[in-house]
Amino acid sequence: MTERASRFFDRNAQWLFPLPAVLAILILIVGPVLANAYISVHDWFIGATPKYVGLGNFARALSDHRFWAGLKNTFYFTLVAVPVELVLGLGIAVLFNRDFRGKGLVRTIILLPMVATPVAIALIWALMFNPSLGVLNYFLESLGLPRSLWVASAQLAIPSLTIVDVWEWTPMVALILLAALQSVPTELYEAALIDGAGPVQAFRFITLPSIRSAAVIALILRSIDALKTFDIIYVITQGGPGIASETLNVFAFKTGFEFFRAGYAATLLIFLLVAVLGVAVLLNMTRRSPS
Amino acid sequence: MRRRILGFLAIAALVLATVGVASAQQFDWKQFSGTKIRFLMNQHPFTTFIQPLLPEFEKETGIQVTFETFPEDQFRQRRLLEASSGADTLDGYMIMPGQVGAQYLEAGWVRYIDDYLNDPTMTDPNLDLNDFFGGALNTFKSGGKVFGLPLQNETSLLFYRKDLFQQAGIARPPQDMAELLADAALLKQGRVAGFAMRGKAANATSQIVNFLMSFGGTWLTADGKSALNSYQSKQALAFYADLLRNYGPPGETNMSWPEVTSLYAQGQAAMIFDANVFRSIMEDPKQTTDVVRNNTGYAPLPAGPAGMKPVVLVWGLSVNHASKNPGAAWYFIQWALSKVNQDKAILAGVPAARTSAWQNEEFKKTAPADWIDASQKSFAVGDPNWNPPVKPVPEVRDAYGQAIVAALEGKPVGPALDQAAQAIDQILANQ
Amino acid sequence: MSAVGTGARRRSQATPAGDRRRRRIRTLLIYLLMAVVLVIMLFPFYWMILTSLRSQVDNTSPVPVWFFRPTLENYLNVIRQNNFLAYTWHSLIIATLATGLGLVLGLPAAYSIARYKQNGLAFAILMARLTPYITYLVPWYMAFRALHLIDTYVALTATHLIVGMPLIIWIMISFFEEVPRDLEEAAYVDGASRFGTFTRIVLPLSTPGIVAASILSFIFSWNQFLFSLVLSGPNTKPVPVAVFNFISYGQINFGGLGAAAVLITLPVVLLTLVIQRYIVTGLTMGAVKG
Repeated sequence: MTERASRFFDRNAQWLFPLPAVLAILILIVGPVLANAYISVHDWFIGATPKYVGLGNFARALSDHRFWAGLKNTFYFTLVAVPVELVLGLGIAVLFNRDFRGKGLVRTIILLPMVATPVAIALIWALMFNPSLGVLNYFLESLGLPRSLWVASAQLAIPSLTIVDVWEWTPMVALILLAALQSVPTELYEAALIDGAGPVQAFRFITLPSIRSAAVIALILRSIDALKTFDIIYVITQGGPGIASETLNVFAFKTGFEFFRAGYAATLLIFLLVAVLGVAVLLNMTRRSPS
Repeated sequence: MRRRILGFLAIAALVLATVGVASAQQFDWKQFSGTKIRFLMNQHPFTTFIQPLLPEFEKETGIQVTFETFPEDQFRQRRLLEASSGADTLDGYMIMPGQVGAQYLEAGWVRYIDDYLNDPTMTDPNLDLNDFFGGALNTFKSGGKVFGLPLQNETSLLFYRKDLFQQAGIARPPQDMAELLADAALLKQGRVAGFAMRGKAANATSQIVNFLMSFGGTWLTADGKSALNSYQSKQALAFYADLLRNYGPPGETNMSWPEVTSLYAQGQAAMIFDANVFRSIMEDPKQTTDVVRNNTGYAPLPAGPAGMKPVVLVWGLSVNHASKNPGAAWYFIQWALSKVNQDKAILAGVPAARTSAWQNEEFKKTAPADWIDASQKSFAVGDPNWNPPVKPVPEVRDAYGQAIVAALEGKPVGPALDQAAQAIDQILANQ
Repeated sequence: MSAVGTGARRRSQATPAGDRRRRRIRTLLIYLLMAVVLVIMLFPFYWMILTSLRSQVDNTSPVPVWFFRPTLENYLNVIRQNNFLAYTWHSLIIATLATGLGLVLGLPAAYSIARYKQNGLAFAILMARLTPYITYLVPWYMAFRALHLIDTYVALTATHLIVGMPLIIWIMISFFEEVPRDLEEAAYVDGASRFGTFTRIVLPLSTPGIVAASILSFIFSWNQFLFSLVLSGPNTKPVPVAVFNFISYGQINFGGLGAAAVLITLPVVLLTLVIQRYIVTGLTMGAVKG
């Protein structure tokens, strides 16, 4: 780099550093999102000519019971799955944050559920959930418990699906928190020890604040992804029985790619985006507040 | 000298002309040699059967075919994307006119092939359209024009366990719906269901429609409104819910074909009603327990109050409208559905669309007689309109599917169907 | 071998020896808990492996078949019939390119956000993760088709970038925030450029984070299904799409599916195993503390 270019770079580093990433996002994300907005104001049955309908699709969604059911299911799924993942993730991070033989192997095992390809894993779970042929009911019965319908029951479909989500994603939360735990300087604990703090106090006043920002990041990432969960729901129940586990994402996918209503699907996706955005903004506020 | 030259030229010209005419009038498999074409295929027994034969086609015609194969849902999505965007690299695809025919025709995504059929250089003289089942071929006609050829005729049959029937003292497979219900009650034992069938919303409609029609119901009224709220339709669904809630397996609302066939293959159901193609599963020792494999019988749909009215599902091959090589694609279709290959197909378990294939001696020797008999009885009366002839078919099926799930969950059948009919009317109003 | 945590270990030096029994019970409990966690995590995989070694009739048996003559037929079918090695190669190329590009674009952006407190920008990048992936499908398909890029590594790398890059940025922001500013200022005063400071001081100090972020980006790209389904073709088809070929018209071939799932997961597991040590060493070297 020549002297002048270097100085120019230094002065403008603030915006030159993120520039390539921003460009990529503009092209790959903002473009399609705008295209989607354009589609959403049309009545477009794929194969026919799109008709401009203004906000007609939005009005239709608000009076569509299936839209509301989808919205409810989306939040139900997220509100069950994410808190469980955070609590279990923290527990696992603390549990495994120590020295023992085979540490590397054990940590790799923890990573497995999120490493495995979701479509394959979801199909294995579907096989295990099967009320007549599945191994889970065999276990329940062996333990003297009544058999369950699992995903085949309207009431149990979403809770059953969250089991899969928790199994799959708790490891990611644990991984993020484990990394944070390990970056807590040991000097802090030594200082606390000198001050006469016990393990509970050390956890509360040193560990928790140190991993707080990591925990919030994990919370934000998981909430966003849980609201948009697609693979496991689509593979295991396709939103069924009936629409008992149909989230907004699954409903939008069906509307667009099975019912061919591209305009209405685009509208549903905008609603979902707004919902996710709202949650993200709320959670991000906790990130900014002083710790 | 000059005259001789002229004479020679004249003769030469004449010879060349005759040769030219002859070659123009003769069908030549090598005509498109060197062309590469791509077909989008459903993960289907036909695809599995024909794929290994592709090198033969290439040798015979010099045309190189690539298949892109996806399971049915993904296949439909991918086909929709490619067809609607006018991708010219796609030359043909599998299609079920009873499912997407109206949509694909109106959008102009399939290419009519009448020009080829009328052109002797383009159509194999041995093609013999009359050999195809009439009903199957008719689904590939619109306004008298042809837009593809059928590859299989599929119908649903009753699969039943002869040994369990004997144990229960039942002498014959159920002939009508009342017998079906009574037999299911006699056959249910512990965890073994008396009868199982699809109950997973839209997936179930292709099966329950057999009940709907046999009870005298229809998809639509004469003026094109939903007829699912009719008395006959309500009776059909009430009967179905009664049958499955009392004698069916647990978790009916989540059952589609894989669940139904696995359940039966494992001996967990005494009777199922599903597609006749699944015979291949029941004969495979790797997929089916011995006791089931050795004791399976086949019977046609039991008759309802309106008689035995099964539907027939037809898959076929069409040329993509935007294809750059429609001729080569048509050549492939003719070859894939030739008499020779349909004979091979039926031996591989694909219920071929050519009548001649069903007369094949080797096939008659290997396939169970009751399966052949029951399938042919169904084809004889089968209605190819297993869906209403409208564009938003999947949406209509979904609305009916919601009522099916509600009925299986024990909710009142009448209001569920009223609601479905209302939803369908709305869907049809803004199609 | 000690199983007590960092904090507890320090304390133990000061505890009287009478507490030893209580500590031993605690250790035992901790191991038990670890074992339970691991069993739950592993069971579906165990089931997947069993599935891959059993025939279809055993796989759908209502009473689990625990003892059976294992068959390698499923694996042979997968490798032979489905051209699985080629799909694995496609996946490898796509995930590597997407992660590499994600690092090149994402690391400077994350650094800038951490250093200049560009919270607005951070949020804009989060947008990438906010938008439901289905939103992109139709516009992307249209655009890439117009550019004749369907079934090319360009299209797949570009779209998989959306999976990995935001993750890389978000993970790296917190790692970069940990890098002491004094170190950078010192280098800057010594005449290094901003870019030099970034590459020579900041990046090496953040290696553990970069490794962790890369693994995650790689894995998510490796597993991405929806984009590949729409944008790939015979020349670029990756493994998750290939897995779906085990669902056929008649039945789901669970054995083939299990075998495919095992084969897909295996390379990533091996990779994680190798790099796991690297993460641990990276952290224990204390590079962060300077």
